[in-house]
Amino acid sequence: MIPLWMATAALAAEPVGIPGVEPGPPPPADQVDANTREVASGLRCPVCQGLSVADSSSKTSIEMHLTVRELVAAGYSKEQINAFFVSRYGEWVLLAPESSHWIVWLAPLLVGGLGIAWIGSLVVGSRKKSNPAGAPVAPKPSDDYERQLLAEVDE
Amino acid sequence: MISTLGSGLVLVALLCATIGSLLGFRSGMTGSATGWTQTQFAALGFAASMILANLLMVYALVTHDFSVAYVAEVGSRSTPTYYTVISLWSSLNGSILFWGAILGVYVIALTTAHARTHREYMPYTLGVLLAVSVFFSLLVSSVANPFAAVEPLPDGPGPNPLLQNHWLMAYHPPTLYLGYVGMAVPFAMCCAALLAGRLEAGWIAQLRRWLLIPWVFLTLGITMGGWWSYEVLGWGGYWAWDPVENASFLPWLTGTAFLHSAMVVERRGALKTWTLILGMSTFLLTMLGTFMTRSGVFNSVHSFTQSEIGPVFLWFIAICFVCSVLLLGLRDHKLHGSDNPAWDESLGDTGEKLSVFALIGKIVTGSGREIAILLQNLLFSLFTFTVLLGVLYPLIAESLFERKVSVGEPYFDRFALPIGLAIVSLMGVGPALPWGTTKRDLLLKKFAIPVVAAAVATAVWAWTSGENLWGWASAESAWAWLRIEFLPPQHPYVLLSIAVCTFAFVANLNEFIEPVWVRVRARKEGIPRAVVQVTTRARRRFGGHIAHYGVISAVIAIAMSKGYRAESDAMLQIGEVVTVGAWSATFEGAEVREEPHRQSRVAKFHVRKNDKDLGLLEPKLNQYQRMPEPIGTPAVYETLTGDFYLSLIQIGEEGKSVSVRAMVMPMVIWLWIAAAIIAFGTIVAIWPPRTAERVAAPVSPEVAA
Amino acid sequence: MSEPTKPNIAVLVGGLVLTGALVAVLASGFGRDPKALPSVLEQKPAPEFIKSDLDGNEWRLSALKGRWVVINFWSTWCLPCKSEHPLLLSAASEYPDVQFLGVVFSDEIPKVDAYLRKNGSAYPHLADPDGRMAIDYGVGGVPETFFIGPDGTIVKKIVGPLDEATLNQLLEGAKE
Repeated sequence: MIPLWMATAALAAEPVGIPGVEPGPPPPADQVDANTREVASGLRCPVCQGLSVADSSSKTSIEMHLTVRELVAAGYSKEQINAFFVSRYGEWVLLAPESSHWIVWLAPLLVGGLGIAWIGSLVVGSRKKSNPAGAPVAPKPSDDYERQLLAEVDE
Repeated sequence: MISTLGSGLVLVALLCATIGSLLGFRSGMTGSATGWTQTQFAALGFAASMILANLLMVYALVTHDFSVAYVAEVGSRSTPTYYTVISLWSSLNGSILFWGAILGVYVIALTTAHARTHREYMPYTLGVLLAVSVFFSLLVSSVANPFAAVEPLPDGPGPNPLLQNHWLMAYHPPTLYLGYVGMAVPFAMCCAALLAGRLEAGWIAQLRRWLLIPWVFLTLGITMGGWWSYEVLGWGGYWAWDPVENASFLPWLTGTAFLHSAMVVERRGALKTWTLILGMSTFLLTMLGTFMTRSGVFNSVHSFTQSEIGPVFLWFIAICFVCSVLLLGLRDHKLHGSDNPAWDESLGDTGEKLSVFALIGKIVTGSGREIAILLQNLLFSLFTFTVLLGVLYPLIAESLFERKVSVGEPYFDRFALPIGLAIVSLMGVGPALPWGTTKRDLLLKKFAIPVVAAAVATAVWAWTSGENLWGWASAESAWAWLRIEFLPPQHPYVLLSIAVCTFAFVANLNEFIEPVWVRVRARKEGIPRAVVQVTTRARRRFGGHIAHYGVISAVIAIAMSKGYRAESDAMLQIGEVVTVGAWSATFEGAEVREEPHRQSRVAKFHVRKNDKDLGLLEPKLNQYQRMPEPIGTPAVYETLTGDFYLSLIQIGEEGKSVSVRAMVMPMVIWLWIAAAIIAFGTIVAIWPPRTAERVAAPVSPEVAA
Repeated sequence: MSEPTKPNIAVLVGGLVLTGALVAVLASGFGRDPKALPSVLEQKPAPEFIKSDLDGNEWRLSALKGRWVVINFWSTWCLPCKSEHPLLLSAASEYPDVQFLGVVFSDEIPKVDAYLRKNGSAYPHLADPDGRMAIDYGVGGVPETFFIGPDGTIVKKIVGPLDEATLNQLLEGAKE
């Protein structure tokens, strides 16, 4: 069996690189596949809808996937490779918006926080109201659990 | 001829819906019995004419009457009859007509089920439901008229080839439509509660049942969509966070939240406004989803082409939203007759001061099922918000910042994973808590076994799979945690998923064993009798537990298939082998098969697992006349522990070489099984015999949830 | 929860604001093609390439400075490429001052040779076996055509098949 990347790499005339960008030290050979998958799964396949370059088997994706592999093997980092693809295709090639789109990342956290605050206020509010004078209230005896359970399943 | 008849039927449907809607509102206000009878007749008239219109369209398709616009669009004499019939929903205008028929079926079901009950709500319900029907009838009779007369041609182009590529395509759309359209019923019921200004336990129980029915269709439809994607699209995944997939997921999320908060309304009389918001949002989100599929505004594999119904639909959505908001805002105070004493009782216990920590501790430990459900609701709403934001953000960024961005899997996964796992843990907590307050010793009794089981299962999995159990707790793997992905090397989230799922599974199982045990001890029943008694007497309760098992099955499938998938892209000559893990496939050659509607290029692979011969797999590239590029159909060898998945990238000259992607996808099958389990649980929960009695009888506080 | 005795202002205001925002966002999508992906390369210097054509001659962009260059990415398996092929052939003979170059995208050279012998060829076709030139030019799917000015800037990128009017308009501009 010939891995697809090897079959194509044999055709390439010159070594790949990103002009004007210095690669770091190449990763260990057994890391290349995993790193490639990580980078490629963050790039959008231009001809499909919403699939990543790692998942799509369209011809364009295959070419892009192989390029990513070569760049990873040459020692380029995820950020450098992402920047290269953004410079050639545009921002939309990234499947997760960049950090300049902070609103899309922070809004869910904000809403989650508000929700927790709301539940907290419900609990506090109900406590205050059920005990307005602050007088000690005798703990309400909880139903005997077994009796309750029997009632529940008995209807 | 058929054109005229069909257009006529649609106009009759429009007329019936309009009159019925007005009659419904009026008889709701006056309480007139004749008005209600007339409303029912109008509703049945709408349903009958819509269903007849659909049958007529099927007749036109089967007889190849190319003078009907829709037949000319999707019909072809060379298409097999079966596909001709189902091409009713293969294209935009036909699918909207088909919606009308489904709406009709729901209208009939609702009208007959409650012909004599819930008179204070039913006229309003039908009024709202028929108002929704007016819109669909309007669409079918104007911008999306499939019955328009055209100059007949000798033959048509045939339906979308994807329809014929896989049998699932025949079932996926109608199942999803049953889910989408059916949400109009609970929406109408919510509106009726607001219009009538009351919401009793009996009505919320019915509301919950009527939401469960489309909910289960939605669950099945979504799963079928994932299955279809997995079996047909060839990328080895089942969920791509595509806008249209998300559109179907959004109402599922709010619907699931509703199913739980409705129990709080029924049992404690609290959370009424919130629950109605969830119920109404569910329908509004299905409309949003329909808009997203049919407006051409979103970029998706599933979308129909851009058409003029987009703006019309947006108007409808805007009107629905505004009406819902006005109803909720102006009428919801009518629902709160008293000051929810039940709710306060369950929360406020003693008079001691609560610090923040004590408060959190109280939420986590000291409160009853209400708090668990409230937290569940929060998580589901947060999930809904995040998915909706992700779907809409490209539009927002383009119009506000003039930047074209994509929001895809890496974004959604990062939020879905923690939210999803939190939901699964709550799934173990909620059912185990009694309503009201919980005593501390009960908590210990309830959760000791599930927690121990979770720890043991995680350790066993880590040991058998060779994960370093302590490695994921180490400082080096902090990055793996932060990335929030199911990815190697440490798979921290796979281990976490196993822990959480085991906890929830054992906790739910415990809720079944415990009552059996109590019966055996307290009533001296034999174990088999106790099991039968417990399962048949509290169907809703155990239906819910079964559905929980289904969700656990799905989460395990997702964690395993994402965490441990392995793949290899290879170029093979005849006789060469591609190996992934224990699986291998030998390329045996390729051949061309001619079929009437397509040409298939088939590559044959001999599959082995651990040297055990498993026979041939035949991934294909199908070329349809209407498609510029071939559609790949992968071949999958499915087992309970994992699938071997072969997808063709290319077949070389004369079929002597092939480029193929081979994948091992662990435990994917449990995702499809999960949908079946959830459906089974839902059927158990809504099976009529005992619930029919409950409808008539006032709901006692002891009704099981 | 306090007993609301009047309209629920929170629900009304919140709901209407959310509704307005949602409808505005959705309405903003009309008239835009969600599948259209803008090119970031227009009005930017065209990426340099050194590629061999099918006859083995070497081509580099820097050597073509001072001339208009039309680069057409295509392949034999792409139907729209076939439909625009005659148009490109006639344009190449009509505008001899413009350098036309085809780039073979994800295809097999023997197939390309056979195709060109059958359908005619009027300008060199570069082999791009590893797809690197296509990626350098941000090519998503074929056909895509780039119009490069004499100063080496990409003046226009056309995605999808060319039509005669657009092609002539761009090339007339090139004449001046």
